[in-house]
Amino acid sequence: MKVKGKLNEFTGRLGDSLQIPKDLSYRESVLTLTGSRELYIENYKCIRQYQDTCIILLSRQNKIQIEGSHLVIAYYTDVEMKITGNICRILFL
Amino acid sequence: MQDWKYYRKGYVRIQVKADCPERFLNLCAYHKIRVWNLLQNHNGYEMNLTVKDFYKLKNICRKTHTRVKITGKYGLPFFFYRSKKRKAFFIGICLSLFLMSVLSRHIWNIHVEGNVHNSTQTILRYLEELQIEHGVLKKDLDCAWIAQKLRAEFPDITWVSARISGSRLILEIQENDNIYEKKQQEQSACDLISTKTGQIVSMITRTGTPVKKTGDTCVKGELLVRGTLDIQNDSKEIVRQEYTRADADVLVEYPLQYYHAFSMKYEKPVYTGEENKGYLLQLGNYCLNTKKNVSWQEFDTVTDLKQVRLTENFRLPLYYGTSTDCAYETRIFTYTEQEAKERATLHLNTVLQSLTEKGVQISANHVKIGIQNGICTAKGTVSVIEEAGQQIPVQIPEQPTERNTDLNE
Repeated sequence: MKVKGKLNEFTGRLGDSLQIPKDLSYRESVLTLTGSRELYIENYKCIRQYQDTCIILLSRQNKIQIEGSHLVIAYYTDVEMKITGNICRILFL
Repeated sequence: MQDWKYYRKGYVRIQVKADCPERFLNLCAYHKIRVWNLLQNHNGYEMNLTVKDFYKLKNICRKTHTRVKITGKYGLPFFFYRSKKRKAFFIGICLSLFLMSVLSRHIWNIHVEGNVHNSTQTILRYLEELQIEHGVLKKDLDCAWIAQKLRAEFPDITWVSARISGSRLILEIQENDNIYEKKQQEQSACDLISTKTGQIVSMITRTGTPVKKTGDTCVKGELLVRGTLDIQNDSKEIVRQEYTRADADVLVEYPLQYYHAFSMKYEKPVYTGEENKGYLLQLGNYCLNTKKNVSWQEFDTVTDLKQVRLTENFRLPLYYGTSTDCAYETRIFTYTEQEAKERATLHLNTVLQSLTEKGVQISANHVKIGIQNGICTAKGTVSVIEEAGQQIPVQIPEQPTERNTDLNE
């Protein structure tokens, strides 16, 4: 696990030196938030939990917890997801 | 656009109940099943998915012990299935599509833009002469030919673009603002004679030999500038004459008689305020009027008609509007002295204004206004200065042929 983390760090730095976007080099998720009503997530891994007040997603590096009310998944595929509703908080666990 | 795609193919809204719904959702994503409008409520999870994807759920449901219930069916396939007994509805759809396809093969709007000197109606009338009118088939039109014909018919049109856009024929026109017509310069010799009787106040001769000068009087038809040039030798003897086209600006001042009389009493209609209004519908030569008959002796009829048109320039022979009869009585009034003089002055000023617009200068005004025996009379003379030169051709005598008898002899 430690070796894998170091390898990820190395590939990330290599990508930085080549000016490759960080979502590719570090395999990070990209979150695009429009006010508090819409969230667009790319590069997520899977859905861990879905309720209308809390959504937990797994990404490559960590968990993303989205809290709010009347949360609806407008659409989702294996790589991207769009969440609408009243978003109050986003946590990285 | 995406919504229309799903609606066209048909989609279902399902209700999902499972011990671990997240696993069901992740498997849907793994199997590329498109899910949208996913929400959680007290009954479980509800989501939309296409009919095709719905049939892929069977294995996923078995793996995740999920129960699926369809709560709604949407889209065209379900709509047609529900409406299969409504034959008239489908016939109507087919008929409308057929009519649309037939009608879209015709031109229903002729749009002309960029024209200033030539009115749209003039251009449309000319197009009608070429059998190009509303309703013509698109395949019968040749845009290049139309543009060529328009340029040939209207010389002030410098550029025409004709194109068909949908059911519209769009004509873009550019006109030449300064229409220059080259005058045919006649080269034949001519004299300049006076067209007025009066006194010459200005005379500028360009070509020819002047006969009169500034300050002289002239009568109508008198020669002002001769169309011959005397060629003299060093001894001031006339050697020969050359004929030319006499040209000069000659201004002649002459008196113009003015007389205008009118009675001090006049008739004027006075509206009583009674009106008889009705609606009007006119189709071709047939007219439908809802107005009642009235017994008034004197009345005016005011008609306000509007033409029905389908498109910008496609007008139907159908008019609608209102028609109002306004009753009036003819009464006799008498001008006051001031009113009569104002009317006479106004008439005189109108006449002088029209003269000024024709290029005539007013040098003096000796018109007097008087009232006598119930008649207002304005009479007198107006001195005007006007261009008074007219070119008339001159007969050139045949030049005697040179003597060559000696040679013959």
